[in-house]
Amino acid sequence: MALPARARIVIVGGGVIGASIAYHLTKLGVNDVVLLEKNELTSGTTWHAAGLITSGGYHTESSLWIARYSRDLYARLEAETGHSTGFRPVGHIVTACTPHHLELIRRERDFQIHFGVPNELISAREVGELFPLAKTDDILEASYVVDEGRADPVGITVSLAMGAKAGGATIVEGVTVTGFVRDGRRVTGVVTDQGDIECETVVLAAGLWTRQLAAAINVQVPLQAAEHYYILTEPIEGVHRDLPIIEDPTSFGYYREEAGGLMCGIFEPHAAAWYPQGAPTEFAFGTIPPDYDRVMPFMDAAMERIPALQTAGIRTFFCGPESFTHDNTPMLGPVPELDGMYVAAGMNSMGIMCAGGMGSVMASWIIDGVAPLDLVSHAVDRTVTFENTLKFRAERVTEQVGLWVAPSFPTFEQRTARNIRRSPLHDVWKARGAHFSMGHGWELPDWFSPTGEIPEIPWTFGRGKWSPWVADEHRAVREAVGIGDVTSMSKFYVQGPDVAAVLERLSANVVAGDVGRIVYTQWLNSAGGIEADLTITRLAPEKFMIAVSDISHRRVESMIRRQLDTGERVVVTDVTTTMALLTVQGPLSRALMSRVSPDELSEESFPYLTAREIEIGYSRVLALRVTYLGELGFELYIPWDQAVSVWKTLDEAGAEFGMRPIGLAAMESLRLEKGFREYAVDIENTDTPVSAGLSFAVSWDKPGGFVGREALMAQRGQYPSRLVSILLDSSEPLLHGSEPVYRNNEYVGYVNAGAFGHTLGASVGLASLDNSAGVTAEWLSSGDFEVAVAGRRYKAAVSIRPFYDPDRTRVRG
Amino acid sequence: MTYVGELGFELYVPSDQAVSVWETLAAAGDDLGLKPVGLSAMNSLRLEKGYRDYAVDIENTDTPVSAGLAFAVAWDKPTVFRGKQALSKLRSDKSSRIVSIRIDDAEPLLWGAEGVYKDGQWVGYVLAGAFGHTLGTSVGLASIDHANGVTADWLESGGFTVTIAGSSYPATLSLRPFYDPDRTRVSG
Repeated sequence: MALPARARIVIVGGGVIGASIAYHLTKLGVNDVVLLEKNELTSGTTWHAAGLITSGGYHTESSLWIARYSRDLYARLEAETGHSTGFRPVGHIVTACTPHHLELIRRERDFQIHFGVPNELISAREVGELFPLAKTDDILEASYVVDEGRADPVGITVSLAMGAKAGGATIVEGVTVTGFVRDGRRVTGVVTDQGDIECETVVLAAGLWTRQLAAAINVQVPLQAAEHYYILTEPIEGVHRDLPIIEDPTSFGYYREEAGGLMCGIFEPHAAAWYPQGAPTEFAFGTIPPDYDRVMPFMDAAMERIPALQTAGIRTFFCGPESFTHDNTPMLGPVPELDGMYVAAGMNSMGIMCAGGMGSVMASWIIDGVAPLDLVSHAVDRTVTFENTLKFRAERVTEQVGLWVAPSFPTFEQRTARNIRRSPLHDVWKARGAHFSMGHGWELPDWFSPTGEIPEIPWTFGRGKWSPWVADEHRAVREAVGIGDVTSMSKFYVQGPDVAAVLERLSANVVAGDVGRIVYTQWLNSAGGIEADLTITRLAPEKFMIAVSDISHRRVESMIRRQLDTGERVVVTDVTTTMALLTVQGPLSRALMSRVSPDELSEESFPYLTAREIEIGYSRVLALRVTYLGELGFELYIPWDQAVSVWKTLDEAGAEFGMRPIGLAAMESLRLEKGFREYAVDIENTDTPVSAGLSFAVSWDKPGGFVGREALMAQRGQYPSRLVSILLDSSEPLLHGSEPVYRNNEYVGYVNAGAFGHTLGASVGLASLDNSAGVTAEWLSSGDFEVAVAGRRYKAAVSIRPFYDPDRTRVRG
Repeated sequence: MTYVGELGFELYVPSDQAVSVWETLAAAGDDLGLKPVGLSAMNSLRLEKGYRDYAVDIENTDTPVSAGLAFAVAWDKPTVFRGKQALSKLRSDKSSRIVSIRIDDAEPLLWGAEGVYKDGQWVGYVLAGAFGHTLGTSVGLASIDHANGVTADWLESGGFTVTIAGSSYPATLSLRPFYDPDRTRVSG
């Protein structure tokens, strides 16, 4: 088939993801779509996927929407296209063999039943009845979703491709994309071995080849292929097509019927990277020679769970590559480096179960320019470029294959490829007994062990040895003074003659005020959704400093770039790693700072929400009078080289004030008591300042308006959905997020983020609640609220204002 | 690039990742004999190679001509650079020059500010010096004056001594560095 000379959208990759994007674009009325496949459809990874269709492991609204939409699509697609997806709702079981896993499946069920998943908890005996071949004596409980099961990956892909073609899309096989054409900062075409295609939009859906393909035009898409094994047995007595699927983290395996025998999939805890230096382009319908020694221990575990395997004949010992990402979440959306290029890859073994939803999401994102779901944690611009280095990819991927449900635990930590990004105070904290947690490569103290000994930290939803230590850190901030290291915050200088105009267009608040003024603001998309949540400080008439959490680093850079009209003179400089950032918070923070600084720090001379350069010890630092924890406090931007010196000065002076270093865990409980929002945790791209309770930061009538104002105006003063503070009555249960909330016994929303509030004496959080007539103070106060935690209901109080210091008496000191 | 006269690389590493990058290099460099080096070693290495260090051996009254840096001047580039007019007048002036110097004896140490004599006449002084562990003697850079020109021939004619703490030691002076004057090492 001859290549068209041009198309509106070119999709690279004919796996299930590419086919689904093409299908969904035509559903949105866009048929000028060309899909290019280097070999045949499904020849990369799709063809050898196991085809499990499940919501297991998902506990966010977005991921469940994607999984359930996919399931529903596969159930109905044959009626539309005439080609079977092979979907069979044989039921899906996930076992729990430890108390921690038990709590996990109970919490997951609490949440999932409100998003259309008929998730039921069943006993070991019921598991045995549904899957008689399984040994069940060590199973505590299992979750069972009756209407999920399995599908045929090739069938799904062909069916989607037929639907796409019927909708007008063109699919060409046997064409290799070798590069791209760009015009300035826009992609304008693809280069293939059979000529160029001019286009407006390129979608990279090339599976494990996506990283290499993107690198051809200097776009970073960190993902890495790993070896994935499964075994197909000869027919086994009692195995039939309607046998449910069992996923069993204990044996690192999943089990389903295949041609009268069993397919046993293995997700090893230490997998092998496949071609980290670059996957061979010609690999199609390819397999990897299996390393028997590597997988035999897991076969033993599988035989333990399914004793019939001990005597079953092995028909196929299969090993094939699949792509994984550093955080086990796909890479989706527009790339920050280049306009017009999108990516959908890095499926982490979830490609088939998610392809329908991914295709729908991607099609909307491309056509509307706005993500239809909360997808900050899926967006490719969350990544940091070091995550694409060969060494990092090759190490991290060995851990990703076998993670299963582990990332659902609040104590989950990646174990490979650690200690890459360090604050200059890293060794100081280590010597003080810090337990580090990692985010975007940064290692920052989570809490401090007073003995210096770091206990074993299980993957758990419960309390641990560290809990009282976190409580002590929390109390230091409420009662004395604590110092936290938040150097990981991304920091930018934005400078130039046109900087004020550009930042005002982006910001919903007025940011170009007096020099020295700090402004909290959101940057919105055209639908009024929050794309970034920032603090902007005017350091000079033409110089601003932006501080934003690390997940927004590259998005903020690209949003400024995309906002610049031709000719506007603005320069963005990333100064993140030129300054350490210490937050000094608590009622005694000013007293401590006055002890080490000759500058006047009173409220009158250094008021709340202003910034100035001050001396601390031997150094000059930029100090901001601001708090994220709800107390009198300062944030200190310290020259990187002098961070240890400034810390020593503060530490020596701090003893008499009861100062102690505090970790991220204490900061989380402090900010949640005060109801402060955190982007990508409790507010996201489909929330607006109105629904998120941030209307106070919107300057509705500022001259020139701001991006998203029109859409936001339409919502002003209306609260069908609203983020509110929530506090449990009982001090026992722990909120971690994704707990459903009930009003008068009716489901009304869920907790977005939660932590134990050591001042309030119970778990506290932020919850997103829905009421079509409005989530008003009256509606909140007139209902009886409950929260479900691991299968039990607990009474809760809800409030538009925070439970801690609602009148803001503390921040001025 | 190099400031120590060998095949080498300078790595500008993000400050947050500096320790990680060092750990990677240290782990990989063990069997290659990798060692961390300090400023002292770097000083002796660069002086063997005759590399200049601003505010140590060249300063604001030196010019690229007198400092031996005329190779780094693009005399004819289209844009007239600041100072070109003044510098052009000095282009062939060889009356004062910074040259490499080494003591013939391995014992005495040069630190800078040691007087240099030719045939007993004071001709200048050492600006910076260190023990050159490859050359086996102290080595440095000296500022030498000679009205008829500090030329290669004049330097090769010999008779130079350096006075160190009251004692006089024979010395060799050269426009080219004593270590790898033909620059065979930097390309690996």
